Amino acid sequence: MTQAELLSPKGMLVKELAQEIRTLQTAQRPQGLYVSSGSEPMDRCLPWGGYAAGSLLELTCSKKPRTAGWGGLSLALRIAKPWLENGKYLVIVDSHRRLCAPSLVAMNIPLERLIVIRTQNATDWVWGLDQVLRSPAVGALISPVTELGDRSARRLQLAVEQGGGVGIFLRDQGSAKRNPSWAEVQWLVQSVTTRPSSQTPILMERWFDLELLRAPGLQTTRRVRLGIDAQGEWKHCDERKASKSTEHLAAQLALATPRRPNVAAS
Amino acid sequence: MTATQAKSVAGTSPQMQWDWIEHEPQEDIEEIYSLAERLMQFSPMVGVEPIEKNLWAGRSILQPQSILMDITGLESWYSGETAMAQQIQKWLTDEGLFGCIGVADSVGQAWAVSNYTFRKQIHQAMLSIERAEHSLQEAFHHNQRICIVDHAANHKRFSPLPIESLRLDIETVAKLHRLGIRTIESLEALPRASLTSRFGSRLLDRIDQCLLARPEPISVRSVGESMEVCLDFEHPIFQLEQLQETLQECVYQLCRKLDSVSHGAWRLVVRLALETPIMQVQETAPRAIPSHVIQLGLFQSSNEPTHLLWLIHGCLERNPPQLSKNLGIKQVLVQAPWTSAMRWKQNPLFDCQTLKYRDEAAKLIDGLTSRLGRNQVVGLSVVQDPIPERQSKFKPLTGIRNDGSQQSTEKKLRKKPSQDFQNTRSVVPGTQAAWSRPTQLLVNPTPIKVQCDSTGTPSAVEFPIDTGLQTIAQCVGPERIESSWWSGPTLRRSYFKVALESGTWWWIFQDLTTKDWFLHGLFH
Repeated sequence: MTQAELLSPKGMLVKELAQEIRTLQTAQRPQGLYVSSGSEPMDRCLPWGGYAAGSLLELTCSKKPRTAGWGGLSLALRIAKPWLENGKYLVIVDSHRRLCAPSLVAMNIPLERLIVIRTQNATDWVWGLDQVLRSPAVGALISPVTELGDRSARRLQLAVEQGGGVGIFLRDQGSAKRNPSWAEVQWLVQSVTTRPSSQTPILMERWFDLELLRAPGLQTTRRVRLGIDAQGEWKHCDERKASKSTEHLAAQLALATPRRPNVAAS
Repeated sequence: MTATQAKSVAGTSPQMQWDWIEHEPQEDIEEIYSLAERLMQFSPMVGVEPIEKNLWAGRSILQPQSILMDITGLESWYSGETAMAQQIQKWLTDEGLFGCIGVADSVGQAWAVSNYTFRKQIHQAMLSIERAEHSLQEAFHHNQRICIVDHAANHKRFSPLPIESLRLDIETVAKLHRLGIRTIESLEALPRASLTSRFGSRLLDRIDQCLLARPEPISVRSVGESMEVCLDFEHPIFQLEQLQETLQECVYQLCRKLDSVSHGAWRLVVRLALETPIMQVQETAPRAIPSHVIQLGLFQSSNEPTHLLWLIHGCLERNPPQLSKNLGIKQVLVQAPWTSAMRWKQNPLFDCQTLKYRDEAAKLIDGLTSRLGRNQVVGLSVVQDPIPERQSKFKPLTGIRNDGSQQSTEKKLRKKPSQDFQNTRSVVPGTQAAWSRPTQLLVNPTPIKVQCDSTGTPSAVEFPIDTGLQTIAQCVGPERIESSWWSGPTLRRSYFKVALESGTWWWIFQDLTTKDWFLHGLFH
């Protein structure tokens, strides 16, 4: 829709109707409660400077990975962390029994407030997620998603609105396009292979290109490059550039080391 | 049975497949408490041996391994103690279990004879299996292992038993061994006064419990018949709707009973007695049919009827009784075999956020467990072990605790995570960096093909189901990980963290024994 169309009576009506639909859809949600992701560039992309309490979020990867390793779980854990600070619980769906405890501890995830659930079929999965999202004790839920029907997706959205936490779904782009989604925010995640810098050891920080595909009021696609460092904290592109430039500046300003006399030769 | 013995027993039969399985202490605890519950058919007073802080000599793990049963006055129903013990042993054999039974005047005496009278017999049975003289079934099931201590027997009956049979801690036994005292007989010869000064009063207590039959309490799992509600129907019911109404009535009654004594249920058992109507039963067929049993373990004791009903309904949805016009429910029994006082902790001085949501979390965990199953709702903890697959420990969040006593309630409620009141990090930060270990570890490492450069560093990798070779953009390693010699077959691996051109990060290793490559972890 062009600017002129938006300002026309028809456009205004569409806008009003969209607003009404949105109000109806999120009537049950705790109003005005938004939690920062902890990363300023990511928050800047989001309409309210954070994720809304009682909403669903999807992290998608571009192609269906045969073996996962695209970093979605690490990103989800980092996004979920601020939701656990008030003593709420984190629930992870791990049907394949793959979760590795040392890495969670290294990312400062409180294991005493972690509940891992395993489901054996789609019915149990939807039921389990519904119960988890509906509970006020749960701050964040992380679950992989393969197929999700329209009614189930809506059921989960209503549940998370009641619970007031956040549900983070990990899925591939194909599944996200094929199936309807009631997620408020959808990111496309691409893991980036960066050249190792002199300051950080090789493979000790990981960078991602995130493309915001869906958010309320989103007009154009927004992109951000974010990293997670060895302490499990966010790292931003600016920081990386700043650290590099500092290094270069320091190198320029440093006093030249006097050449040592060649004792052996004398 | 030690691992070496098990291995030699398994090795006697070429057809027998064997594998190393990590010991699951929680499974043992669950099993022994479940067995105690089932043994209540012989006596209402059944408990599990109380364990102490220190390990008893002769034991390898700090876990209850014996079941105590008070049979006072019950032997007449079985025509004597011997007949009763035989019946219990037959029942154990039918259950596929192997047990030694001791009947005596006190717990100490019964424990000593049941644990130490048959050791030689069991050892010889093991040897006969190793020598292929007997099969496993023959060696363990053709002999009776029942020892009955006569009321009139004096303490000389226990003289030949080793001092370990007194349930002494390892330190005391080691000290006595250094003095050359190995049997109860030689211990008896020492003056009592000197024993207290040298070994403490505990040794004398143990001697008295065994030789003088000093009574000891049995911590009975059931709180008695009062914590159950039973409803009989004149005619069997065939509709689940009717059943739900009845269950509601039973659960409300039970909760009122629990509330009157300020108790909450840790465990619920619902027994639905099934029966075929008289008119339809054939003369030859038995009328009684095994009951439909629902067992529930709770994360936190509760006497809220709505919560308990919700849990029972979850179980009924998952596993409904197969009712038909020929099979109805004759009786509904709702029991709370394990209850504890609903004592709540005083609010802490600082605002402890974890406790704030604990009640809600407990309800959620109970609900998930009732529908998904106990092993599907678990907690995660870190284990100090060099082998990556053993570093993560999944443990069901509901069920029986190690000691099985009421103290668990208080202990759990008293437990407060460190530093939580400040709303800062609620765990101690890991010593390792975030990207040093993968977030996901494959249960079974997947074989892969790897190309290495001249230095032995992986340069390209091929996953079996993917087509084509994937180039490795960056690689860190090797990180050498080896298992301890005492923990099963030796594992020697060289781990590499690799970033592929596609952006995915893998954790791969080379088995240094076979030189094969495996994908073990995903930095997901």
